[in-house]
Amino acid sequence: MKNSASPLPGLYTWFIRLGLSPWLTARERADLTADVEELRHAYRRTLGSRGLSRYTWRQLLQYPIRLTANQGDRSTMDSVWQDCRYAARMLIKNPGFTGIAVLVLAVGIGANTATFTLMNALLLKPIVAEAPHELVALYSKNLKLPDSFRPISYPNFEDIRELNTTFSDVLAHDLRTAGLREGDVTNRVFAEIVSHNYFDTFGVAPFRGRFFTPAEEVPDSNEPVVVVSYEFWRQRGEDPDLVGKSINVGGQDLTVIGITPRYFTGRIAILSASVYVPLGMERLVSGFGGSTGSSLAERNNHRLFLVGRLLPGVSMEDADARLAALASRMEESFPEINESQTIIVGPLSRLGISTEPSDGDGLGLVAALMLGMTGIVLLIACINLANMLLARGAARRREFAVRAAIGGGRLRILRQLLTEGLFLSLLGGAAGLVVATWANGLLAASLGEVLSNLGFTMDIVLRTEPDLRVLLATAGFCMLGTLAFGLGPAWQQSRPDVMAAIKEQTGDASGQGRGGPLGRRNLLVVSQIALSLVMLISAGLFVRASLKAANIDPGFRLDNGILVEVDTSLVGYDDAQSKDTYRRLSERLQSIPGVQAMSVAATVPFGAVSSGRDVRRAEDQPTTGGDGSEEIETVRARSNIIGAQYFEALDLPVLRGRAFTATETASDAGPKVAIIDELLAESLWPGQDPIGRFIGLGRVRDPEGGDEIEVVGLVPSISEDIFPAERRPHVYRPFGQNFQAAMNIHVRADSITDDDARAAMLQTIRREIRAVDGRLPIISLRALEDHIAESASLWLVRLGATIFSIFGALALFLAVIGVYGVKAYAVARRTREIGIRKALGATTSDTLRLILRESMLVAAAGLGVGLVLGAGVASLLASLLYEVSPYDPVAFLASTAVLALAAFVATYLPAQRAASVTPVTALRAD
Amino acid sequence: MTQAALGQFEHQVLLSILRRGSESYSVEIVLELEEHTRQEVATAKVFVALKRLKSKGLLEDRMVEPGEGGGHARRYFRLTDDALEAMRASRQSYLNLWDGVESHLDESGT
Repeated sequence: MKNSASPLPGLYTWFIRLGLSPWLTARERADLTADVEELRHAYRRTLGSRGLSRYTWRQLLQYPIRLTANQGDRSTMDSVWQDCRYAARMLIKNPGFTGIAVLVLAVGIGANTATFTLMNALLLKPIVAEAPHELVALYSKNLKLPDSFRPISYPNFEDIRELNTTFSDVLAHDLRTAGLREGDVTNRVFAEIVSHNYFDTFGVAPFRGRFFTPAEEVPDSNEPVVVVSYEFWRQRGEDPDLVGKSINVGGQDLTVIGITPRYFTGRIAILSASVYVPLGMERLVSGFGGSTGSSLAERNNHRLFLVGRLLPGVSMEDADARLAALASRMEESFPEINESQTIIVGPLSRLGISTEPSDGDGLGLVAALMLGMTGIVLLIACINLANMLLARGAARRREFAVRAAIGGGRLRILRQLLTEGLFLSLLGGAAGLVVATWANGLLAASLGEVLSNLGFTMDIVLRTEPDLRVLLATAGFCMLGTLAFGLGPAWQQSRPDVMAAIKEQTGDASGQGRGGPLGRRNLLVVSQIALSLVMLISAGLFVRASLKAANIDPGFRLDNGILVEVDTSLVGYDDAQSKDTYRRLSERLQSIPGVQAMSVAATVPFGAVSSGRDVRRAEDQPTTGGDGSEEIETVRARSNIIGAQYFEALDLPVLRGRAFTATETASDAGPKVAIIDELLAESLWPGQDPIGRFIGLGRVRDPEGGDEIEVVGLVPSISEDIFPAERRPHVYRPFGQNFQAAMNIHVRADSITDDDARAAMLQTIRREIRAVDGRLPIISLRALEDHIAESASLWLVRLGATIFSIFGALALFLAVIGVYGVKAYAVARRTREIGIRKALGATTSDTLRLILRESMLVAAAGLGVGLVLGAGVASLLASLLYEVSPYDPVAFLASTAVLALAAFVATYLPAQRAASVTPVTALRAD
Repeated sequence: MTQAALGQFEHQVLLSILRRGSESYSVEIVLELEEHTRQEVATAKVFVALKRLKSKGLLEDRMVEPGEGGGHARRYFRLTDDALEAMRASRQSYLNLWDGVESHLDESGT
């Protein structure tokens, strides 16, 4: 009697028992199970195993239909078909009801599906690669210093690739930026520099053309070849002959040899580089910190990130052990470079490339939060539908009663109602899918906009078209919706009180769906208002936070500031050419009438790139810890490389000491100097004057003492980002002693009175830069205020506020519809009662007050519950709110007031109509 | 005494029990039905019908504990006098209806 591991028999028995449970006692169910089993045994003898399996499937599929089918002669499929036709007819007959129901569901299901599509793309959908679970990231870890990681040099990569017993293949890459010249315009695009086996390791084939050869990978081989992304090809008119043509990257013409397959994004999700060049062309594309001037062929030039494909059967633990052995061999061969370095593996991070393993992407909380919020929207939508169906069911009581009277079984009516519910949710689901696809398209476009505001062109590969997961999720939401809003009303309505219903005695005495403040329908209204308030409070908190963030005080003057971003490396200048270009630019810009000050700066406040350094007192000696590792106290500080007039350009005073001299910012002659801010000074030398003291950079002492840098100035602290809200220490170093190619230029004008003056100033600056060097790409040129308003972190905060506002507005909209519907219905049913009250002398305002008081009691109960729930949810949101208390009274009061007002209006309209009823019309209504 | 006319399926179930002799349990009834109607029967539907016929007083049941050969406890159903009465009435009404029109079957049949 033992079947194989097939779940089928169990499922079958379970279904039959579940389905028959209303009719059978526990004892009978137990007998039944045994009977079913015996029957299957009998069939196995006559039909064989496969025949039995087919038979069971047939029974299982037909079971729900057959069981609930009319016991009459008509074939069961006929009656199901009849249900469907009838459901369709009912929905068409009431276009208003159907329209609102589908709208409500489209909102609920659409919000869920949109969120799920996004979460799917960010967190779930595997990257485009063969067997992505075999791919791991490699990290070079310092055994002596805790949590100290570094990238990997090309010679070390070669050793790992050749000597390892862990991977079937290892690739090396680095994500850089490159200037892409098209016509007269140079745009900054993301470029991957990759080893020749990069695409092979991912296991992808070119969409067109070919990928790289080993010869093209050799450092400094300078083979002028490039692979472009599918998006790159698509955005440029899907040129069928693109392969073989040349494009200008970094000032050099490169031949396009291949196109990546569609949706390929490398190791991270969603974002893809536009161009891929072999490691041999590394000098063409700059890193974020500019070029180092040294070749990839040097073993101490640690620039690359590695991804390996594990051999079959090798676990991550095995890999760590084998790589440790390899690393110690590499340390023996090159002790001074590979001292204390080991290699470990970790899972690929979906959202970033880092020298150190990440412990999760921190998106889990956001995902849970968003799904939670959309879940509430779906719940509100379902409650709404339940309400609407209850109200309409009451209107159809007579129909059901007639059906019952002429022998329609309760199950048949139940099935009919569920069919209608399913139709509604399928329609709603389809509309929701459209809403979701549209919403995600908008989101992708918005993301693209913010990237281009940052001066980057990056391909966003957000696959917003529904895939199987999304379809399954949508189907799931539909089913949930049907059960949530269909089952309760259906069950209630299929139990008609035949006589009362046929006589249409629909007064209060009929007892359906009425009741005091705790009646069934009032409970639905209370929960709806409560949930809506939760959504509104969340939205209010996020809006408050975004307003706070938008009005941040960065500690420096924004008005009259102009920001220019240029990058000499994008057109292929070497260091000498670059320095000369910046010198000429400085002279030219300073000579513009109306310009007060100008300065170059490596990073800008609220910019895409920031740089951090560990700063220590130069006089400190390391202490040796218990495990033999050396430790030295350091302070993490934001680091910037600046010109002589930087503080004037930001209108920051130098508190003590001096600013950098022109010599220091123009050449690397002379002793090394730095300026620090108050926060750093206070951390390093609390309560003392830092001027004239020396600092060192990095967590390791330079044995030569060459890293000693004299502090020459002290400046106030500033904020350079929204998160974290508290200010961080800063260290500034002069441009001349720390050259890099990608620079920003701050310009401070005398006074910019209006938009015209600002536009004229921007125009002048653009013209002057062109005059200095026509080839130099101007990546961005705008007022400092605009730069901050369009920054990524503000976008993120605004996005949060926007999403929650949309959810809040949806919840409010649904709540108003729900309250209105319930009230309109409840009041209409009380027409007779109101007529009698009127006949007995009640005035219109008496009646109005009566109805409003009842409704407002219910609303107040909902608001009370909502405030408590809202406070709970707000405490969960606390970590995401910028500078706003989770119990912010403004957000709480405003949301409550808005919802109370909406509930009042939604009640007032039907109440007003009812109160104007005259006794005569009330009596006629019966 | 019959309160309502038998449905066709109920009639078939009762007939199956009658054909098998005095007593039958669910499995035998399902197999009997399928053999003679040459159609697949939804098992669950048989269970429901048996239960309903019992509540109408047309069937009596008793549990039979497993004997030496093992197996499980079975619920055996037996027709009541009311059942025979109902079947007789039902059969008669069919025959009455068929009376004089049986020849139509041959015309439309082949």
